[in-house]
Amino acid sequence: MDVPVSQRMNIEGELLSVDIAAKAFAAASGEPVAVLKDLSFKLPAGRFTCMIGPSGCGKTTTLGILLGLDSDYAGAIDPAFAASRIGAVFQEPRLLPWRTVEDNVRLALPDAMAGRDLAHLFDQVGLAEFRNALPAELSLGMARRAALARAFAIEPEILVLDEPFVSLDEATANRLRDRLVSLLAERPATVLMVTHNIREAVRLADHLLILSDRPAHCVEAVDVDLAPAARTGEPAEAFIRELENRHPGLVLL
Amino acid sequence: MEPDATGTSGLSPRTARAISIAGFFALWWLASLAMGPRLCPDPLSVIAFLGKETVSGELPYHLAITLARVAAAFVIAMAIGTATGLFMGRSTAGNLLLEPWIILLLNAPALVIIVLAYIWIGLVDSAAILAVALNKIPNVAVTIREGARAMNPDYFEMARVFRFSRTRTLRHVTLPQLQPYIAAAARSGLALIWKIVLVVELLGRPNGVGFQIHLYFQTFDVRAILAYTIAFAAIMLAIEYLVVQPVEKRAYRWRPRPA
Repeated sequence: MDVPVSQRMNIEGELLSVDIAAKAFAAASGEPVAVLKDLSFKLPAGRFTCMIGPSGCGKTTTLGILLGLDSDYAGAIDPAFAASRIGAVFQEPRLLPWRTVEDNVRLALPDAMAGRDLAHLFDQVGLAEFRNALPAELSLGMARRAALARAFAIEPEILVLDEPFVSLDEATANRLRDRLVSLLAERPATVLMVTHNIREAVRLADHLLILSDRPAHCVEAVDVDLAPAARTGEPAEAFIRELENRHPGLVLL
Repeated sequence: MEPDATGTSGLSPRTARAISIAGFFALWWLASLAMGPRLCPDPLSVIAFLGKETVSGELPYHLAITLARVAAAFVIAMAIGTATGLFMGRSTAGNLLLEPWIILLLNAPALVIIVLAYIWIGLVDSAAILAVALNKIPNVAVTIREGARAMNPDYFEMARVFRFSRTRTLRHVTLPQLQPYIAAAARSGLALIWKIVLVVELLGRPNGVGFQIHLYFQTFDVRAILAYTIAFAAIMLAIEYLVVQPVEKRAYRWRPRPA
């Protein structure tokens, strides 16, 4: 543990630990509602982790804590989360509607990277021709790609994705998944992606975290030891069926 | 306030505006016929007086002084009102602390504020401008507070995750969201401020349009009163059409236009 926290997430074999003992929200009646309880897991550095679980179980809440947006919880998260550059892709693209696509990406850049050439990045996400477009002129799929470009532009050490492919048709979502894979091949990062789509998780992730119903805790952490070719089709389906048998109700097909 | 509503009516904004202004002068002329030249001089004699006063330099001098006071009070009221409103909208404690002050100022009669400012500070320009600004600050603060409460927290979360600096957040996240509220406060502010500036001048300044109108009221010179009013109204109209509306148009460029 002599490595500076800011470099740990790039080192193969390092684990970033998350231990959230309790997180509650006040309901409209004033009663506290437990959202997370004894949620603990480890993120393998430099790998792709997917968090899956029933909708409403507290996945987005967990991401808010890891992103430093919510400090009102009991527990401890790895200091690496605060110390490293984190890129985020939210469920909604959250582009500033009054700024162009390029300005949205540039505004996210830390001062040290200001003015850097973004042509290659915009090529990779297929928005080279839309750099000067306003977000209102983009389709949802394009806005998601712009949000992806913003997250990658800062060269993140940790990348957090909150269901970045929902409400897209399957063909568009698949093209976007391929873009994510190629972006990560060029610029590896420690990735945590939330999804409730098990097929998407098995296709992309090295490591799966399966969450329970609310209040959420981690019921199983499992490695996905499938070759890239086996991540779709029958081998993947067999892997998914086995998971579903072990956790009926949590892993939905 | 939709100058681009062409097509359906076949009326261009320029024509519509011209008809509106011509109607005003026609009504004025009819009134002068009904009331006689002493109570209501006709437009031509007022415009002739306007020309004479402009050439003598009298009117531009008083107009410039009044406009400078309007500008100073406007800038002060907008800056302090916006900062106060933003603070109140974003902080519950700030709102609780400042709300009684705002309600007090909102309901204090303009005349009371003006008289007290003159008594406490003296019959000087700083007192006049402060009194006008104090009358406007609470309106600006209340409008901006509504805007601050309506801001979308999602954008601020995004700004925090990507570690936007304070100034970057203010400039690119906060102000664009407040923009419609700032525009509303500015527009109603300009109208209120110039009305109060004239009262302030009437009560305690030796120059400006308000002082001149007071002077001509004592000599019952309706022609002069109308001339100064017309000159001032023309300038306010010009500011509306040449400054306020173009600025608004520019600020709303990013909004999707209905196809």
